[in-house]
Amino acid sequence: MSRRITANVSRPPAVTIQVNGQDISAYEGETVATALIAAGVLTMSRDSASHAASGRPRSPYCNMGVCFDCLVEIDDGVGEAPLRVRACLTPVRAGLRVRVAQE
Amino acid sequence: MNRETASELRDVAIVGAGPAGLGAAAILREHGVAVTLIDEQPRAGGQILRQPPRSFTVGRWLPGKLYERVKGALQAVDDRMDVEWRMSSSVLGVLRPSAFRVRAERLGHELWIQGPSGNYFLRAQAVLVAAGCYERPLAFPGWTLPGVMGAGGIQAFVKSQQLVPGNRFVLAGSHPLQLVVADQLLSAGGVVAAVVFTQERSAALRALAHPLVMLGHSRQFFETARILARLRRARVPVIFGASILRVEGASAVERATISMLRADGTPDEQRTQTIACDRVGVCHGFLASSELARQAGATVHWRDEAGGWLVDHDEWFESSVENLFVAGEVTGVAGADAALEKGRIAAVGILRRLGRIDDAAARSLAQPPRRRLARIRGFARLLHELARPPQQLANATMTATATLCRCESVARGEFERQLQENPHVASIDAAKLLTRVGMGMCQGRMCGDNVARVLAAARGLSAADVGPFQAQAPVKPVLLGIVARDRCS
Amino acid sequence: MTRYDVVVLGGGLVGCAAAYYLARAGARVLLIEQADLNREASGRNAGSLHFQLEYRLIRYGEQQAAQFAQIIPLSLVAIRDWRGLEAELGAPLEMEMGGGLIVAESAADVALLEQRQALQEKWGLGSKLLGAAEVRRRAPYLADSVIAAGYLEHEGHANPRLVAPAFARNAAARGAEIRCYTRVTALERDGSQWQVAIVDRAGAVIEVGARAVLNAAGTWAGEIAAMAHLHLPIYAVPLTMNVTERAAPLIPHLVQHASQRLTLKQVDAGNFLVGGGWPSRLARDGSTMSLQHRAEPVMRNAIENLALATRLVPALGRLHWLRSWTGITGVTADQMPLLGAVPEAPGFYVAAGGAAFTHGPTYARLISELIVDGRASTSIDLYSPARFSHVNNFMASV
Repeated sequence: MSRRITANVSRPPAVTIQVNGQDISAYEGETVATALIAAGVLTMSRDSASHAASGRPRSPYCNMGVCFDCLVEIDDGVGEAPLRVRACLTPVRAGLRVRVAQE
Repeated sequence: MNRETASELRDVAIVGAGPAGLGAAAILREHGVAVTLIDEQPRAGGQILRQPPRSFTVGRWLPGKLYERVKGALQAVDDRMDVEWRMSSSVLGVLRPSAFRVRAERLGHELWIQGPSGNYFLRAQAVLVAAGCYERPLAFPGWTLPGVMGAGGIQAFVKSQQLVPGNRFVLAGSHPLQLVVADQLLSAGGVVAAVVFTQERSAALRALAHPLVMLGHSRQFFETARILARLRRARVPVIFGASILRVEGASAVERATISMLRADGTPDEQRTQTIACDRVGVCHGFLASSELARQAGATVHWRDEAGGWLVDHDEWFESSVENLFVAGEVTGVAGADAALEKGRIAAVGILRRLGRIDDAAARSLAQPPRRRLARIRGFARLLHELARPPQQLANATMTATATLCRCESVARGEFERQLQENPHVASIDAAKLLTRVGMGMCQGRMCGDNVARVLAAARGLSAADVGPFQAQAPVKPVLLGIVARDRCS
Repeated sequence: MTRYDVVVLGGGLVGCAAAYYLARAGARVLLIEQADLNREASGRNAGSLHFQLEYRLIRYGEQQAAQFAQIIPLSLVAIRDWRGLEAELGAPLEMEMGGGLIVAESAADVALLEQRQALQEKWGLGSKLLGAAEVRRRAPYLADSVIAAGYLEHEGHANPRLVAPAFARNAAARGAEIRCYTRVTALERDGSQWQVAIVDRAGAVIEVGARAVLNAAGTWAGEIAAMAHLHLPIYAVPLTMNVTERAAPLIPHLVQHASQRLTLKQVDAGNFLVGGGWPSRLARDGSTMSLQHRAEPVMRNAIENLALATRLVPALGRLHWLRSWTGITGVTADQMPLLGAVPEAPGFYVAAGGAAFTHGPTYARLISELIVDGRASTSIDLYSPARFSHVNNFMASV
């Protein structure tokens, strides 16, 4: 399992975000990719060449905004419509709703 | 964020807040030049110093001596209120605001930006592109499975996000960075199942014992020696002369198979071992992120060992496009300390170009960073030679069924079949048009190097002959809803 | 000196297709391409198969529109050609004839549709006008602002990536010789023969002879003609194309706008292609526009183009714009293609200009018939370069 480092690290109070309707605990400021992996959610997108549900699962490769394999849908409750963004570059905010590809 | 004020002319816009951009910003500010710093990350530091979120407090962050110099450069600029920060922002293109030359000089360059506030244009008299580099991927069966990452990607989770992003890690590659990553994983309580180097142990040790390293860069030598000792104490197998061959698992990584390498650098399928793990970090050096400069029209040259397509520049780091400067890894991957010095020289070049200092003052101001850069360059060259993957390796691990282009899911075998049927295709852009490689969301960053290798081999050409993918704006994909919403700005 | 029946100049769609049709008719063919096959407008255009009169043909008043409508007989032939093309070439071309919509958002737009429809009916195209409810039923993805549409069932799209290469493979299989990264340096008529000097990538100069020369150089057709001391009034037009990421199937149609510059379609892979004639900026060489350097995109134009597409199809707003590129196409002085023999230079043929993707295979087939048989099976007299004899009359030698 992935796990957050706690020695010498102090985080803000935990907040809740939703991932495919399930509540998970996360920290504001960390990336959505971090929150997902810490919660055991590795698959974020599917290979886009097969936009059907049969596409193979994908997870961050570069973790720096280059590979786009961490594309997830987020809805912050403010914008008009959910946006598809790179999870590795998107900070967690309380109440964020995230949709990832089902494994 | 200040979309309304974006239209006034800035003095200097710096793309990339890593060591090169920070080094340049400090000097420009010292001379009273206004600086706008733009980066995709939320905080300055670049990939080498991926800072933790502002909401975290991390004690003893990146304690190693390796980071000493760049941390100083970061502290000199980070949190400065007299720098215009435009973070979490992607530069989508460098454009000419007018077709009229005279007017264009007055208007400067125009940056097309996607930031937290949306989509807008920003103009600056001079632009410094210090966009850094990204990891050079090695393609092999299973490299698209969740859990396979660039070693630097794993490291970013550890050093910035304070997350050990898995349980049992295998690191494999040719670059010493993987030693640092292994060490940081161990310190954070992770399990490292193996560290696999393509180099023979003797070659690696010989390079480390090189006089240049021993005398000029003992910091790196002793750090490496210390890490090797720590790995030994933790009973982490460090395997030399081997490479990752394939990774398997149902829906994520379950095991990695490594293979010893023959003298010619190809894997020996008779001598393999399979290691249970849930994460694999791959590290075969870096590719210069030259897309933005190329899109702007800057000319480039090919240097395989220093990051592929590198931006041409003069002694002041000005590219072939007037008032477009380049620094750091886009001019040749040589590490953070070199990037810092290049950024400083480029800043002096910009001061000179903008008429803030005369030529004599510029020469004297640039002398110390030039001297330091010359010293570092020798070490960088040595590192290139040490870290250069065996010539045949990329070709050998990329089997016919291995995915060549991740975005478009084109396997190598399928790509080669189409090349065979269409013998007139001899450039990478023509190959893209024919086969869809490079047409996906990463815009060819992940496959370009491997596509060039396969194409060049098929045609008896060099990777330099087949060219890079044409860089076109937007150089990062951008959501249409936002573009349509903000089009009047 | 090697002798050919025909030397084809230009490795775009028209050139590759002509090489195929000529080789199929038994001619000995050499095709010369200065860079890669299919690299310019042929591979970079929007892939539209549009047979209704485009906005560019209808916007300059009724009289001009009536003249441009004379292209429709050729369009009727092109529809048949396209329907048989995948079988003919034995290759998938990602052809989709899901119908084409030209949408209207205002009373003025509707008036333009009606004018267009009258011309199209006169020439027997078989298009019809759809009211708001019918548009909504057929195209539920369109915004509510759309109140009517012109519709033709035969319209759609094919993939420009695939068409010219498929012709080239078939041409080569029938014995046509294809040389890329090779330029023509001289063209000269010597009695009933043409002598063609070409230089390859390595700089080696070769001279070949040909009974006929086919100028299929698209935007470069004027430069090629100049080598034979002829003028062709064809102008370089740099047009921007844009593509989104892939998405699930949404739009089976080719969508255009009655009064604005837009073409929109979803290709086989799921990407949306958006264009419609928004310009990039040609590079300059001194006082002239240069085709030797890359044209510069004008992103504000591209943004307008995509904003228009997103307004008409709101679902596009969720997708990423992946990249833009420029295709340099050739437009003739009177917007009609140049298709036929140049009377002042016997043995010199042209096939360029016009909507050379939609009509390209048909131009190529008909010009090949003219070269081999002396006449085309469908009249192309209307498009003959002879209409510029008042210029070339002064250029020709004995």
